[in-house]
Amino acid sequence: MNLLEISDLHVSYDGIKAVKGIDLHLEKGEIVTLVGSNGAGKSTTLKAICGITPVQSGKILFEGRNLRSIPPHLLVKQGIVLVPEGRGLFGRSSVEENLKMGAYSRGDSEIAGDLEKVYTLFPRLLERRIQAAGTLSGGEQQMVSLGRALMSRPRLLFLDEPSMGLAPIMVRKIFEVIQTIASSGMTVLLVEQNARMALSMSQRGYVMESGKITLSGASSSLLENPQVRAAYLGQ
Amino acid sequence: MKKALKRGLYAVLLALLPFATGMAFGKTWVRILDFALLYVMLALGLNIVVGFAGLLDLGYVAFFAVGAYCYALLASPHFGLHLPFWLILPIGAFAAGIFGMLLGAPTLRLRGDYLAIVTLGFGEIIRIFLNNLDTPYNITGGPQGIDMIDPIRLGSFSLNQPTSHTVYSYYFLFLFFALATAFVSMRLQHSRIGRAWAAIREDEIAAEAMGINTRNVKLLAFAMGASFGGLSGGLFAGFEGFVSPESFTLMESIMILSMVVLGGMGHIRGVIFGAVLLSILPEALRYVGPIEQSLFGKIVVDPSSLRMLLFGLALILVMLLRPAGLWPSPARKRELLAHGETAKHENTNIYDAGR
Repeated sequence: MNLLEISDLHVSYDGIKAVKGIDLHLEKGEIVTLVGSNGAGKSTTLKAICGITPVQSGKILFEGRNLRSIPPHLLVKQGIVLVPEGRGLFGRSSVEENLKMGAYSRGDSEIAGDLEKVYTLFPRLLERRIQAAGTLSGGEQQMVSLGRALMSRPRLLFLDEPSMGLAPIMVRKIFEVIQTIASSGMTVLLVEQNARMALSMSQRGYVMESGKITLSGASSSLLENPQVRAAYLGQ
Repeated sequence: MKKALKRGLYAVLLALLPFATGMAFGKTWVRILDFALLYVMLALGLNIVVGFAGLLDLGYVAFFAVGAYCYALLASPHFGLHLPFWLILPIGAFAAGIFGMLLGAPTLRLRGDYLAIVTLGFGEIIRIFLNNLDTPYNITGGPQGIDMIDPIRLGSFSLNQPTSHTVYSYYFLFLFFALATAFVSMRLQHSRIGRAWAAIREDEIAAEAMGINTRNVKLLAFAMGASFGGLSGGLFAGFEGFVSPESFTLMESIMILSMVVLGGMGHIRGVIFGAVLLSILPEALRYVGPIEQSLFGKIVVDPSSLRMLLFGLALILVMLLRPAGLWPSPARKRELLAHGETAKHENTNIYDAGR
């Protein structure tokens, strides 16, 4: 059974169709990329899965259960975490407070240990522990956002444009960490405009264009695909 | 040990304050202290909504009114009901809480300016209702209000007897409730709910992604803040013995909001400080007249008009010079004026993206 199974998903904003019947699935432990240009419906798809944007029709199954009946704030308990576009930090709170908020829905005793792990993953955040998250650089903020998501102990992680607005050196660093996370068995759905980077680190990919999935398959074959090369890799 | 000593000292100071004030400045000033304590409760209540949860509320005085009228209706000859105060105060707080939810429910999706406008309207609606609910059935007494409200009685002891001691006995009653609200606020701030409020204040979508039920948490903020207002409303009615819609104007809401903002939004000590300062300052400015008299030999500007001018000027100056409030919370200070340890952190190695 697939971890996440989406079939015939339709989403629209005030009558404008943003997602026009897509099928998508994730197997446990995979990194899957969803690439596409601006306005293709990538973020809308993520928001719809997470219940932030209402779904018009279609099926969303997580481990066989219907996700559409679960309110967004209970998704964390199911093991699903979204790292929103633009990072969504609590800007006035300190880095550590932000990370701890990630464990808001947890009641176990391993939170302190997980905080240590996040600091090991991002030593930079340990240095910036007491600083207000809003004062960090873009890359550091993305680290906080990722770290905070990890504090929720997700089994399925949605990343919405983690490379947006970052310096190339930071992009590489963030992607390295995503790979480390995924190698521990977490399932990741990566929404990206940086198609080359995203496809080179994922196993499979979907290409989305104006609300529809036009191509899908192994990432390596998508990287070779002339259409993809022309449209997203500039070749 | 040192902490206990400090606390004991504060307790003695607070206990002696009304007597010292009474002896030095007369009873009027003890009465002003009583009102300052009521405003402390109100400001702490509004601080939950505005400071903790970040929801701008311009109609907060409505909940004060609900509590006051609850007390007035249940303990006066108006309906012939004379319930004891320990029963009415919780009823008033609960009723105000319900009204808080009534205001909160339709405004869940609103923020900032839009929320402010709706809450402003809500405050006015309550006041206008109170003004007009004397026909066809006389419920609120209309513009005349309700008078001859029962004083607060502890057992058989009325706080209004003998009359000359009223302001002192109410001081201690209000002090008790003000300390209680401060204690509850403090515990709330550092609770799970308090952290949830802080999270929705800063980013609502992220808060929801962390597993916070934003709808319930917001409604709770409205209800908790309102019930503090209702409680102080009940105390106000018992103290004054008279309520009328005039006491619950928009100006009052703005005054309470000023106390919260001026003192330091979200910081309990700051809010208390702001409330005490802003309730005493306008009274103290009444002495402008005598000062003018002694300086210039005559009254140059009418003190009653000068009073609010100076008051407004003081507010502007504080906001210009101390934008985070007179006594801001550590977090807000960190945001607006970084110094010390935090600033050192912020200024180190910002540009070496490689690490």
